[in-house]
Amino acid sequence: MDERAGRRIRAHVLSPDPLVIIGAVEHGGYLGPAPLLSPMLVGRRYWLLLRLHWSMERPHLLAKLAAAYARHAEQFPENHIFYLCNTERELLAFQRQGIPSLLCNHNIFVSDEIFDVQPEQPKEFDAVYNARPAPYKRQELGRDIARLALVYYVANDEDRDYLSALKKRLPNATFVNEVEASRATTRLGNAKARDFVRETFEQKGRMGLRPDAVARWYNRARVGLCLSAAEGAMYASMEYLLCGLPIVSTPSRGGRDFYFDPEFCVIAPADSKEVADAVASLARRRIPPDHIRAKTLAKLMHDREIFLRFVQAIYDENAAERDARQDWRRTFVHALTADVPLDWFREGAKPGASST
Amino acid sequence: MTEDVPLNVTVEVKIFSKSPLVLIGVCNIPKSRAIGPAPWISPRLRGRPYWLLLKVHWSAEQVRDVERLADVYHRHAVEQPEHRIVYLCNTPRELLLLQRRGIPSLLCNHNIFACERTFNIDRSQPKQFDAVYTARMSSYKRHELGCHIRRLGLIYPTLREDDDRRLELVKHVLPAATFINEVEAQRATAGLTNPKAREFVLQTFARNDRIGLPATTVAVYTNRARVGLCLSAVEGAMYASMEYLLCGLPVVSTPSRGGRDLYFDPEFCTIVPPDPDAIAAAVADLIRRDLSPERIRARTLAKVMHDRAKLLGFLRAIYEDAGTPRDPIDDWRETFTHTMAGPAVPVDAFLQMLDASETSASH
Repeated sequence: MDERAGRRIRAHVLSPDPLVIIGAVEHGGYLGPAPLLSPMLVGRRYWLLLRLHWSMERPHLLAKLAAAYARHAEQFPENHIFYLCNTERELLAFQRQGIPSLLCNHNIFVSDEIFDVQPEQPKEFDAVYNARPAPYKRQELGRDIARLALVYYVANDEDRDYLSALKKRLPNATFVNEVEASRATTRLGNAKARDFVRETFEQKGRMGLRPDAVARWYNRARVGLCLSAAEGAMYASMEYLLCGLPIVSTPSRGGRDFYFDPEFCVIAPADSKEVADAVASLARRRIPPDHIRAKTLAKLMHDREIFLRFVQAIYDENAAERDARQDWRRTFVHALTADVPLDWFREGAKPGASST
Repeated sequence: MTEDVPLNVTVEVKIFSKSPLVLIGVCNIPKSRAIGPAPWISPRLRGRPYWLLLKVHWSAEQVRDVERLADVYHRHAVEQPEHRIVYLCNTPRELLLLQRRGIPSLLCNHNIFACERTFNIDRSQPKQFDAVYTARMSSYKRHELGCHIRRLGLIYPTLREDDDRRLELVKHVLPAATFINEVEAQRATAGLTNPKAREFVLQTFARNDRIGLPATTVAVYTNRARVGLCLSAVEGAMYASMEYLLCGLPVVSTPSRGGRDLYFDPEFCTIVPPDPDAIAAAVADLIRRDLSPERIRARTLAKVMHDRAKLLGFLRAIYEDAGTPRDPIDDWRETFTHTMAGPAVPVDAFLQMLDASETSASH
């Protein structure tokens, strides 16, 4: 039996003809879904635009990526991979290696409709931090903030253990996902049934919240936090800004500061007192949320337009009568988190679609 | 690559930074200068690594042009590996074509080099023109498409030899238009009471200086119009389109290739077919809407500053690689001029400028 049967892969199909896919480099791979797709699509040309979910500014990581890319390009010359760099430094490094790349911070893929200002929400938290419970996210830097909300998604058992440790270390924090889980199950009168539902929710749902629920919680806070030293461009940083929250961030590598505006984004040292002071100072300034959103959105929409024109250029090169903006509207989901059955590429995608 | 540089070759290079040596030049990919001034300066700068950022001054969206460029670029890259060229593409399509051929490039529309201080809203200027068109006197600019606009002001950069005939032709097809450079020339010589002396000065001015106007004067006249025009079918990204927007003017443009539309906002930029009636109607419609110049400028400037920050970020990465603690923003402030054009000088003069600036930097 084919071990890939029924498997789904993280890939956003923007267009089936020409086949244009947006993927991501994550979890140790350097080519996104290409190692799975390319052997399956031999003889068919496809375009893969790869977001970087972890900073590639480190030379040793980039060297590995460059080697993987070169091997793949040699083996599958008909396929075109472009890396979407989160920072100018990444772009320079990629260009020096001769790897096809463009500056396209992945935060352009955040939904500006789900993440919006909700003036009706009461501001019950000084700050909110949406981050995976993992050491690199440094949640403990929020320990001196009086009213802290933590939003998270638990990806594995390690995260679950770390979450338990955080609960002990951060008595000042509200663990939002638990509040939501309680709320969702309060109507279940039977205690056993309630526990069962909650446990199942935690196990199967990995305790993630839907983006619209996350947006609601953001709007209950005055400031958004970004506390890691290195990661990708951090979708949450853009989500905060689109909800009109100013930001306190530690210095970081990865590109989340690409859309930061010094008017409402403060870089504080990685120290819990400094972070708390910066939060208090920003909260006091009562910067209009609509202003923060509008200024950010102007840049975001400009960059999204550039990206879509790049996709349109791919269509044009393939003489395809397609409109990239329409494909965007048709397929967009927040952060492009959709996954596709691997079989779709084997069977569903129209063959012979794209070569010129 | 030859060591002999013809004496009559001029290069147009801005020295952005001396250490690391970062130069900003121009290229015209379909024409002979596909790698800008590199063929002339590289042989003379052996042993001195440089980064050369090339603004693209004519659309490079044709595959055959980019194929040819790829040959020239890669030959230069092999021969002069210490001389790194990066193309500042005006459009995503240019970027796609260059990236696919392994040519270092980033999207950096040259209109980010328009000076937002020189080109600003000046409410003290009376609106004497329905539309203004700042464009070289050349057939590709299609001045004749403005023939149905009632009060049309024409500004033209320094004329080249073959532009003279075109100027006469445009005067013929647009008899009611105001040729602003001539108005300025008359004004500048009005103080001369001796008619012979005046005629002589005017003629000399027209012949030798080719009646170009300084950017500050262009800004004044741009502010005297209600709408800016962009009428070519193909060119580069057209600095004038950005000058209009920074002065708060809405824009009427024909469909075009080259990248001027990257900063167009449908709220105040109308794209119409290349038809005199359609253009005049679009101008009238934009005037009727009485849009806020401040809003036009602010919305445009937000995007320009964002894109300028990307270029500065790229330069910062180059500086960091070179171990330079300087911030490129300081070099930007020190070297910036409208369009970031370097002086057009013979190669030797450029090298002397480079040496002189290094000498002064060392003191």
